Amino acid sequence: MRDLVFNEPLLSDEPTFFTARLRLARNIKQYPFPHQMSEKQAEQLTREVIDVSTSITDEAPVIISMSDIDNVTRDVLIERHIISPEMAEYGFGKILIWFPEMKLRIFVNEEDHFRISICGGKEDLCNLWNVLNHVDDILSRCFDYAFDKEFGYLTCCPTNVGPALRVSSLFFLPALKMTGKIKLVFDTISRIGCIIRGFYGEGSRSIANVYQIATGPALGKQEIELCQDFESVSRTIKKQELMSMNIIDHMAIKGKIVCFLNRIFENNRGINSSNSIKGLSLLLFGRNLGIIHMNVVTLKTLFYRILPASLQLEAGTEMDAMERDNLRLQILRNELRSIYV
Amino acid sequence: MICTSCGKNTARFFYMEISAGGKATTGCFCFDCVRNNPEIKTAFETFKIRHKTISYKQKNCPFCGMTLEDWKQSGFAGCATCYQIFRTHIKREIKKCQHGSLHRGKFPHSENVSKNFLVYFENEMRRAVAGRDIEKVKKIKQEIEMFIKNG
Repeated sequence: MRDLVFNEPLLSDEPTFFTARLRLARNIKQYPFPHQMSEKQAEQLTREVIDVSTSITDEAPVIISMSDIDNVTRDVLIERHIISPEMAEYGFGKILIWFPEMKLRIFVNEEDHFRISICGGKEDLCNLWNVLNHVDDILSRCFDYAFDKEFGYLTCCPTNVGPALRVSSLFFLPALKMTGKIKLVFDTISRIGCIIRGFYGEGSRSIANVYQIATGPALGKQEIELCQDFESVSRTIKKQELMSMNIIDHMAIKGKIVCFLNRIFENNRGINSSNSIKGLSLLLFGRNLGIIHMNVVTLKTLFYRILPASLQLEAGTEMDAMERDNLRLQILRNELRSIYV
Repeated sequence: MICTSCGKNTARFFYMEISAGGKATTGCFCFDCVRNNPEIKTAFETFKIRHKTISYKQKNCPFCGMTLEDWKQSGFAGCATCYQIFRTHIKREIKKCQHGSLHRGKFPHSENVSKNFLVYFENEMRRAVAGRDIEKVKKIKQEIEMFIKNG
């Protein structure tokens, strides 16, 4: 389980993009929606899904019940985008059926009965959709989905009805933020129905210039259209970010990077996650501008490695804030030694 | 409070009568007086029926028991049947929050795909004709031809 968690999320080697995700929401006719379900009904559905889960793919699933895991594991799963913060909230029969190799996850009894999601390190959304569609077809043969000819797949929240598909990606957009163009870009993509969110999705704030951009209500659109439209939006965002990078003052960024590296290597006091993430964001931006030379995926992985719960899982023990800060400093020193001259 | 009719027992039923002139008369009765006096009994029963009718107007879902009020407050549907029971309301809500009004995506395994595609084409064609959108009519025609060709 520990190793599986550290392989997540699948990160892209593109400079402005972290990871892509497709998510389907499905409900079953015979049961009330999760917030109206009794404990008995929730457990019955959970049992039915577990029975079916082994026949979905050749890969054996990892089944995690939200009520059986400790706080650190739960926080790690949230930090690494394996589960949503809503999934970790209290509720009956909440389980995660996880196919780590396929990067496929089925959340049972979250907001809807099933939330089937797939992640990809490359923005090849149509291919990701084909895999997700296949899994959905298998499940639709086993369960009687709540479906209406006019509204499509019925979901707990009416904003999700229709194909009930949400396409989202995590973008790294520091140049747009620094040049002040980000508002204009976000206004434009909002007008075409996209939603801008923080690092952990709905209700969260952006961390270190990383934004989640997702498709909005999709009734009246076909799934493949949604993927293609989002790919086009994504291309435009990346292009705008690269264009903004041309007018950034490299010397100013270089100065900030030197400051951060001095803080890491010349000060023995531990560093908190907020300052580390800000620093790593600068390093990644510096790498994108060609100021430093370091592997993109290593840098992006560090973003996740230094988060509080991930640190504790890596150390194999619960730690207080000061211990975490010290361990974080050690990790950063080990990983960034190659670029500190 | 003592019953205004017999003046002995404790009152359980209270009423206020407002005349056409706007004058209000209040009174209260005990169980025995309501049971024995047919005039008072009829008046209370009529009220009870009316009250029932008002309550009935607040439909609730036979499957999950959710009322329209519950839905409005939480913003969440209780089950798939809720979408049938509160269809008029939900249609209005969907119009507000969604850009389209008819599902065009995939269908679950249990649904008859070709039948649904025909419903979709019919609705799209009806809309295009109503909007006198000749280009769209042509496009739908092509789509139908493609659909028939490919099965």
